[in-house]
Amino acid sequence: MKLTGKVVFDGVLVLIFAVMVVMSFGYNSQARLVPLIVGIPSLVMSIVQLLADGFPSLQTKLSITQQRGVSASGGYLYDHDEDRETMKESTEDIKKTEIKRAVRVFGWLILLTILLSVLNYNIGIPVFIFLFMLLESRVKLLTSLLVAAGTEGFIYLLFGMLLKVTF
Amino acid sequence: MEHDIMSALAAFFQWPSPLFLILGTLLGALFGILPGLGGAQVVALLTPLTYGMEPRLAIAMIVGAMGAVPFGGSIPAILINTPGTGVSSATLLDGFPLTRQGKAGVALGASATSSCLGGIFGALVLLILIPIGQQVVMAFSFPEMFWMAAIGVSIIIVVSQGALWKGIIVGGLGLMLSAVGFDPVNSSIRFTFGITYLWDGIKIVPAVIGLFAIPEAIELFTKGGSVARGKVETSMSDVWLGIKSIFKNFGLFLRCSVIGTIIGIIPGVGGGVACWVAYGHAVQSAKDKSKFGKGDVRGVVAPEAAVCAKDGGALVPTVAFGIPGSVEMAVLLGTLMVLGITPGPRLIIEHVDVVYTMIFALIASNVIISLLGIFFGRYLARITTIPTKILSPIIFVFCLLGAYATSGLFPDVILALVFGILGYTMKIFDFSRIPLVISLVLGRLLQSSFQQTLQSKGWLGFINRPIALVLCIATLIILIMPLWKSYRQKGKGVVAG
Repeated sequence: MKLTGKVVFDGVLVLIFAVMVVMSFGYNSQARLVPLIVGIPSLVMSIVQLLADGFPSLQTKLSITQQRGVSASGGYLYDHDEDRETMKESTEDIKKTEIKRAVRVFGWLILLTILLSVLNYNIGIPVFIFLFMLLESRVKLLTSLLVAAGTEGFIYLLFGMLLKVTF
Repeated sequence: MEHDIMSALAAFFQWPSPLFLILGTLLGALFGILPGLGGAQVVALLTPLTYGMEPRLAIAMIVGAMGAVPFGGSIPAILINTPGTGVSSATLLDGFPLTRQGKAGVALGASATSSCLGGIFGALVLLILIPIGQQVVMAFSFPEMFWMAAIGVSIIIVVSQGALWKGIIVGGLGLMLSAVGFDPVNSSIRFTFGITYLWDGIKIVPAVIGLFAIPEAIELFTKGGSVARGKVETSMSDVWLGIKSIFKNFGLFLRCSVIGTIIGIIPGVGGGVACWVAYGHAVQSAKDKSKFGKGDVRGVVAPEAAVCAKDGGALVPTVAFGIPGSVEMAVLLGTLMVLGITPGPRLIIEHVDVVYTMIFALIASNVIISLLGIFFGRYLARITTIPTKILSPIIFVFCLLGAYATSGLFPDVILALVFGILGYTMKIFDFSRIPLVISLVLGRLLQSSFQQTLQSKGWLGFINRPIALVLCIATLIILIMPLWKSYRQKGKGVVAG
């Protein structure tokens, strides 16, 4: 089995379903009925998906996992992406640098969450925007300051004065 | 009846009623635009302002605000892929791709017109249904609600085209996640891992923000450039193209308005079902399905019509029986009581003017917000030309603030972040996020109505009522038709080969 990101994600799904199915057995007969009706087939399907992705030699035998648009007339429906080609890029074509940047952005989002929980949002938000733009977006100092101040002004007027929402 | 309508209309246009209506409409649009806020919050915010106010003015303001929320929610869904409200989650599937093609004007024009006409349709149905509303509402019980939710979930098989197996797995995950929390039917607590916050279940708005807005904002940032990949068409002619698309697809618009109205009438089903059932219907009934999900204007027309038509339908049980059709209707009930008006069968007899004021306010707010959308939406579309390195951090802030504003709980922010990671991972590993949202939105209703039907009517209860049987057959058709079509196409291929 080749341990790719896709296989790891399939494995996580299998784990989630397995844990939920096992937990379901601990509930009363009514409470576990729907989770078991849904969970067991989903667990089986996710194991099949894991095998198909993990062992390329099994893909022809498990061709059902590759089944394409059952009612499509040549086209495919994907989240919001323009072309199937773009979507097909998936793991291999999305540049590693982009994924690394995405991981960094998640780090920034965790920082924003911490700032919001520790500081007042009137301080946390402009600090986040200013630092993000300056260090991650590499925008000029003055522009970063102006955008941070403008966003904070809008948020203060709306959340602070009109809605009276406070963090 | 005609006399009542005319005198209510005259009272409705009496100054300062239009002013309150416009104020409410603008505030409703603002609440719609901001992720995490919606109809329930705007009604709750306006309620204290109505103390001592003349009921006619208060109702014009509050219903006006409620009417403007759906279109307001579609604006960020179309422009920055962030649904302002949960009911706008289907609009972004085709609205945002249109924006990326530089056709934000078309999407906004179509959305504004569809929501306006859909809202008017729903209000007119309310006008007609008021006298016979009781029978319509009483015809729906747990089995019918179960099948309505089942129809919504079965849409997964339509929207998962291209990755059906993965779509079903993800749909299963959504249904399992919807079981998290306190189950009111059998009073058990499931899958909370000892976390008290999860007792309320997985909240839809933070989850949708995480699944769609955060991954998209991250991708926008990592790819660079601006939201619109091409030249942004903000001319009036482009908006007109969007408006004309409604009349080009008038049959679809009408069918989706009917879908929205019917779903609105059923208490507890709501706009989350309406938008997905309408979207699924648009995909399934289209001859050329290839552009759905990539920027097909029909994917904007259908959910917008259904969501706005739903409001008129939802007012039927609210005013006729005092049964709230949705969360915002529940808050509205409270507001009406504050105003000294008791909803229920006697309302139509004793305060018919109140009912007509609601209908007029709903129509007027839809017209006002759509005109504003048509004439000023194109200026909003220019947001999409801002470089993503500037826009992305602002979107991140609004995502997390929006998640927080849902119920003022900090764990909502963490939930949005967790779903953001899940959504981004699903995106890069080619798992469609749509089935997850559909099953998450409809899962609770599906499970509770399933249990209630089973407990009160047994297994036969699912099919031994006429409407339930019809809905059951409709669900089976939705599930079987695509497979049958595929089988036939394969057969033809073999013969041709």
